[in-house]
Amino acid sequence: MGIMKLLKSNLGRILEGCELVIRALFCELLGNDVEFAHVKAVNSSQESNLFFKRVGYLAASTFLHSNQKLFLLMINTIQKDLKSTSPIVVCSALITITKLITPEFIPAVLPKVLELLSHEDKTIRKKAVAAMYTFLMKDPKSLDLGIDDFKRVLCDQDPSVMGAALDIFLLLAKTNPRLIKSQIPTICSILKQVIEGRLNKDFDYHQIHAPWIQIKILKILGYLGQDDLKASKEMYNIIIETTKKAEIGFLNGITAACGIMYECIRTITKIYPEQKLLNAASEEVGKFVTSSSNNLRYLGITALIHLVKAHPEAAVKHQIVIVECLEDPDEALRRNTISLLFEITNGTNIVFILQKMLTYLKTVTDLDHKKDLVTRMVKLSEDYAIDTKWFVATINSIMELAGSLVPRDVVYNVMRLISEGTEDDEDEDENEEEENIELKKFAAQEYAEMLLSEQILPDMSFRLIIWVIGEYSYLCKDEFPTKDLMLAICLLVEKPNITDQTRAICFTALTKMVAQSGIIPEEVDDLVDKYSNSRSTDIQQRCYELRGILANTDIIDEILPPDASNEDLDFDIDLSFLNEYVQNALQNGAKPYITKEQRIKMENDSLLAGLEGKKERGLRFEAYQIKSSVTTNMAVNGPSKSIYDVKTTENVNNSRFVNETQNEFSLAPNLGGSNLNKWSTSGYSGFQDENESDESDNETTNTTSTTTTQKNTSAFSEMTGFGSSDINNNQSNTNTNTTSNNNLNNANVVPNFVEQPKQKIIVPKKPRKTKEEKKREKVANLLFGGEKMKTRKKKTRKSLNQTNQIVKNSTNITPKNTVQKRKTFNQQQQNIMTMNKTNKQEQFNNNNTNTNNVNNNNNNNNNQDVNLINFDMFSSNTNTNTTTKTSTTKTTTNMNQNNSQVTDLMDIFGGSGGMTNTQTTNIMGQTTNTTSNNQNLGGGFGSFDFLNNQQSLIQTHQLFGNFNQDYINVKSKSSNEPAVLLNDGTLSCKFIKLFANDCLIVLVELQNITNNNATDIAITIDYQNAMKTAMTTDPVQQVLSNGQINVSRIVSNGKQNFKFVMSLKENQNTFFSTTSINFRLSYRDPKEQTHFHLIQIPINIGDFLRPREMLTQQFGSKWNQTQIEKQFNLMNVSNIKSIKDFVTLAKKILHLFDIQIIGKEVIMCSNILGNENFICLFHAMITDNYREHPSVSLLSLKCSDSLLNTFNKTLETKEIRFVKIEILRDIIMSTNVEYTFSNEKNDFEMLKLNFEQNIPCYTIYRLDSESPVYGQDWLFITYLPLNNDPETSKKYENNKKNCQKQLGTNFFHLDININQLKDLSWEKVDQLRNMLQKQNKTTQINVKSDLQLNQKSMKTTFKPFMNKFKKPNVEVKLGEFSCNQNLLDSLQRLIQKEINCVQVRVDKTKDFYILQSAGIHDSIFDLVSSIPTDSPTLIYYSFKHEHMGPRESVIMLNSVPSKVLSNDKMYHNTAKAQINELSQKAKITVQKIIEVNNLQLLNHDFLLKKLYPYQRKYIKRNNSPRQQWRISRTKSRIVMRNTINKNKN
Amino acid sequence: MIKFILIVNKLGQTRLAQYYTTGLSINKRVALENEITRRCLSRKDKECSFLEFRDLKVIYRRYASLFFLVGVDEEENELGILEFIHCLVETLDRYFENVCELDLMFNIDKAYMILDEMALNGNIIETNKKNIIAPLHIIDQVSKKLK
Repeated sequence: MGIMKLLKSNLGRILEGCELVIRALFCELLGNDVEFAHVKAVNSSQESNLFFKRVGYLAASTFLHSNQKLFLLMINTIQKDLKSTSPIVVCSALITITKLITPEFIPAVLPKVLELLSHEDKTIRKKAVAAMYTFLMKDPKSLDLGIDDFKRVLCDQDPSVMGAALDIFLLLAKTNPRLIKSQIPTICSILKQVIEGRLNKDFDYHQIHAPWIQIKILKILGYLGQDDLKASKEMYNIIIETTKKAEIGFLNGITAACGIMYECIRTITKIYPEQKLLNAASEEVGKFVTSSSNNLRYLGITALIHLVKAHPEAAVKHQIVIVECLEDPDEALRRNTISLLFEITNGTNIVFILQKMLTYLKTVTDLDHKKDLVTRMVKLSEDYAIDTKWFVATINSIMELAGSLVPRDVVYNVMRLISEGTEDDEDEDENEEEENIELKKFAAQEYAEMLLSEQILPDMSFRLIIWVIGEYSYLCKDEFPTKDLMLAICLLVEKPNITDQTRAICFTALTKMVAQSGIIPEEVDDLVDKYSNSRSTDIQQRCYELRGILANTDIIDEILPPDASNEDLDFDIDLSFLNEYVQNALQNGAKPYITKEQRIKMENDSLLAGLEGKKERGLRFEAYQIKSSVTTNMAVNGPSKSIYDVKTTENVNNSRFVNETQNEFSLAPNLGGSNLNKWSTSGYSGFQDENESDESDNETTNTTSTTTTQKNTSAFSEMTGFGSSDINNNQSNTNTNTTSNNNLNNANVVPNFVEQPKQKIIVPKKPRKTKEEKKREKVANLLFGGEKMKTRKKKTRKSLNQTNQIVKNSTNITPKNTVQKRKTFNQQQQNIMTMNKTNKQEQFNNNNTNTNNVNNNNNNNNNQDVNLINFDMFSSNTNTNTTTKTSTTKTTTNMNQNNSQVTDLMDIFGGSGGMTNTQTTNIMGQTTNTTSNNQNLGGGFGSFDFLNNQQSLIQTHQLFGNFNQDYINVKSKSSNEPAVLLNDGTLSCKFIKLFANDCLIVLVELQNITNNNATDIAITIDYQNAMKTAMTTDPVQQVLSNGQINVSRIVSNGKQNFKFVMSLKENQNTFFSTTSINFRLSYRDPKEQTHFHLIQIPINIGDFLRPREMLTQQFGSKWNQTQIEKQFNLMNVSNIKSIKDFVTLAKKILHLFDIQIIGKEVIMCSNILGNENFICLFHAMITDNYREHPSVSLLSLKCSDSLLNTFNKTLETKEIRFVKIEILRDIIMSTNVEYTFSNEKNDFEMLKLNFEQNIPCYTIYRLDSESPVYGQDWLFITYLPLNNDPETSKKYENNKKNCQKQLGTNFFHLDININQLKDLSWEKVDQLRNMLQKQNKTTQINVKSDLQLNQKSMKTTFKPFMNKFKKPNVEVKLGEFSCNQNLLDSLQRLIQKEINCVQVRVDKTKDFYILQSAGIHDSIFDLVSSIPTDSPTLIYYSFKHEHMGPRESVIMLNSVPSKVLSNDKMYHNTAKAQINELSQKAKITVQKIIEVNNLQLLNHDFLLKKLYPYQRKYIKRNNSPRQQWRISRTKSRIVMRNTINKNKN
Repeated sequence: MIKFILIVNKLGQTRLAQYYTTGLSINKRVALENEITRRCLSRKDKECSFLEFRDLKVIYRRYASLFFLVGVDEEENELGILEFIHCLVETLDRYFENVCELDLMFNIDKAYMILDEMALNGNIIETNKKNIIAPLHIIDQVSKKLK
């Protein structure tokens, strides 16, 4: 401290100042705070003297490390010094920059530093490079430099500058390897220069040339070669060379050489694996681990950790050394070896390894390390558990050693495992059951023992123990009497070192045990008494629960059934059990709950009211009128519920409340406080007036139309002859609508009263009622047959009868009306339109009308609403399906998406604000209606209506033929300006296309141009055949089943708009057959003249494509798998000047993702409407045949084959009857698929309907008869109409074979060509078949698999990605079987991870394994599609463990499809049994053989499940175990409370 | 990347400390140094020169009464650092001529300057002894003139 004082007193003197700063530096070093000297250091840096300056900078950069505020003072000096002529000064400034610069100051110095990069002094250059590194590290965005700038410094003539530049490259290799991948050759050549000793001798260090530079380069290469075969190949040679050079030094014992060698090994393991290098690395590692130096051994083990990831066998060679190291006294070495053990663990050595680790765990003291160990051990035991018992036991022992460090999830996982047991295979149910019980018993015993031994365990372990004992102690009551255990738990509760949470769990366990055994020891009783007053409310509550159970022993089984912990529970989030209570409270005069927003609104209103001095609002001070008898509940419920303390029926409460809010809203614009009184006193009166005045115009029409629709509906149902069940269905539909509307209403207004899942009909009790209420109830009873409206959809079926009644009732009440159907529609339409126009507040009323429905039949809104519902129903008259819950929600979300888009578009169109508002709210409010509507549309068209559209306009539309024209269209689209379709002086019609990810949305806008309105506007959409199912329209405009949209009154004065939205959804048939959306528009102008227009909206293929990201490699493999290809030659496309132009154009029009541009070629990719399975691949090439106009001359298109997929499906399922195939845009596409309805003959009639008069097509048709080779006979029909144009006919004739080939050549022995539809007769087919069956007996059909075809086509189609590996085939003998060398080669490639899948077929004539295919499959789905469905196959598949980093293991899939003949199966199984020989020969370790019978089941999860039956539990569920646990607790509590209440009452 | 370079004597007193990460308060720094030093000092000669400490690797080397400790991250080459320490010692030795603990204590500024020439940003940028010492000689001349 003496020095410090001296320092402080002497700081003023300048000359000594410098010396003092150094002292301060020293003091700081020793750990004293010398903040007072910080400013002095900064000052010193501003001295002109070189030495002072340097010291000042030095001290400042050390001091300001932790206190950067003062750096601000230095920035000016630094800027000045950077411009200094003295190299030392510049260097000092640069060094300080590297240490202290912060991102915000980078711009201040950046330009100067950049300048210094080319300074003549090498020291300055070096420091400037270092400063650049700092900038790059601290704020990469601040530098906007290309690769050339970095390359310049890398190629600096001075080695030390280059060395510094390597750091930048290392940083880039880590953060942005793409940028510098092109520099690999440069970097490699630098390394070559270094190892050849071409640098200055000064850089040699102990005879090794620049070791640190070598290490840096190797590191960079490691990063660059990671997962990149191409890059890795460039560096293989230089790495080997470096290793060899280093080895010489290594043998001489030079440490630096060892370092280089170690880095080589690391690089080899990091880059794309190459067997030769890995072998070399493995050898080098041997030298490390056998060395006598502990340092080298340590590094050897570290290197092994890296190596085993790529080359698992490496560890085996060194196992003895590893065991030695495990027992070495050196702690660091041991620790590292344990890390290695983690890497080499597998299913066979897990038991041993975990044992080792447990012993090691005991010796570890470092907490961080221990935690890490425990986590990894738990993970290992999860991954490789041999059986559940072992797993439980292992976790137990880990918990004993380090319980507090075991992650919570693991403990919960163990709980779940015990409660659920194993359920690996479905067919071993009985054994399992026993096993599970065994497990539970085992666990219970184990934990009982632990509990009784009174060990001190961590809290988490206690929780587990207590839980298991609570659940399963009855299984081991022979060994451990329940009473003893209970006493032990009691003792535990009293212990001071456990948490309250654990105590609470103890009480629950006690409750369970009491429930199971029925005995209540005194100690428990005492304990409960004691803890009933516990400070923890949780414990208190549980004690009361226990008490409750003790008092009501008869309900125990209901609340706590034994072994039910994993049963699913319905959790009542709405707290419905409180409803009755709340009702009671309300009935007795309590105020209903009001949400916060409403309260705020109310406050505002009351302020208004206050201004007029009418009525005050605020807290209510007087007592509630009548206290209910339920006060006994309070003990359990807690005081918080007292707010609901008064009774009313829910019904009344709701309606009243709704009225309140309605008034709220309707009042808002009026600014009238007077109405407030009306409802606050009588609860109702104000409301009626309000609405009546508002909508009296509509009243009469509405009422009538309601009735008619109701009538019409039932009438229609009868008409269609669907019988009574259909009526019911339809009506349940209504009911759904009603209820869901009601839901909505509730959700909007009274969130806490959302109805509950299992609530039964609530019969209102008999408190006093006002006359009005009674009246309302009567009406409600009439309307709904006494049924409460509030029932869930689940319940609808049960209440069918009641709903029936509703309809009857309503028909009875209202006068009958015999307006024609058509007219009714118009009226409804009008209603809807009026609704659209009503403002937001009224909209809100509409939402609420259902409640009014009950209360007040006179209300207009009510009628409107019913209209809506019925209207939906009507439009869906062909639909016999009731909407299911799930599908409903799905569509709803879709619609919501659309909605938002609609709103967006509104803005674009610049439509009037009010309108926008209305429409959106409208949509929102009616989501439920919409939903059912959509549902209905789809269903209706699918089954009923497809005969109507014979005249679909299929034009062969050249994909790129009208390239330029398309371009114009798209241009207008992309700028978001609607294209004008029509403008005739009265109406204008515009459209805009929107490209949503999964659908195409066409928005059409109609606008009245003149001030005179056009009336009776109707739009009829001409659906093209394939488009029907894919199309949905905007919910507001109801679309009739024949595609008609009636728009009667939409366009009013001036500029109002009408929009309808059509969205085309993903449906494979649509894309290639749709060329335009046509619709007819008719309207009457003010002069009562009727106009017709046919409007066409062009649809291009690009409208359906969406960019899909893909890597070049993936593209290659996809390209090979995909079959259909089309090449276009495009000449003279003047827009395209270069490949880049083409790419931008393609991106714009076709929405492609450009994967890579290779010279003059480009590959691009997209999928169809976001569907991952439907991929289009493009390959285009620019050639310069024409000097002036270079043009795209070749464009290849591939599209994942819907045709083949469909057909495969037909083969597998027998569900499909026929597939219609057309050539559209020169692509063979399936356009229509029909499913089996009845027998082959009847369906054949349907087939005839499928042909269109003048359009040629192929059709394949499945016959019911069996074929010897494939399950079914297939008929191939070629239809070429006579009056078709010759060119098309020719095309079809030429492509017939092609098409058959794609489907599999030998399927179609039944081949029919027809020119007229009448030629097609069933007799003909029958004849043909009989003939064929005779033939069949004599001919053997050789089956070629689709896959082989695949491979053939791949070779011819795409050269850049073609398989290069070709070797002469040598036969290799393996035991009984033999195989070709190429199979072994492929397997070798599999080991080296060049490919990840090898499919093997067995030739039955020669006992021969044949390589069927080998390649990379990006995903398991890829793989599935390439597995033949008709023959057994063995597949080596390198399975990537997603959760375990880069590890892969080879598994074997044995696919034996069920349709394979049984003797083939047997033969295949013998071959499978011998496959080990093949695996051994190829040195593959197959981890597991997995049998696959049904390819549809095969997916990643399936494999994971098979591989890790224990870990599955971890994967399977996402919701946390804790939550489940909570829920179960809450449920038991609720049940209990209800039961207690019942008993009390 | 190097996180810090420490020189401590065998009593655990810090003789030089250079950190390449920012934001470490003095108290934390002292605690860290104590902890690491304690561990290093407790190790035997034959045991390897690496030890894992939290997420760091510490590479140390002993020269007479002085311990040179370098903390690095996972990716750094341990032997490279070990040799770097040696290179540092050789450079100090060449500059101070038979360097000892006292040289460092009385010329701490020079020691820092040497270190700054050799490593910046936690990277080794210069190992050529001539290049390292050259700027120091210039500074020495200036400071001699002052006296």
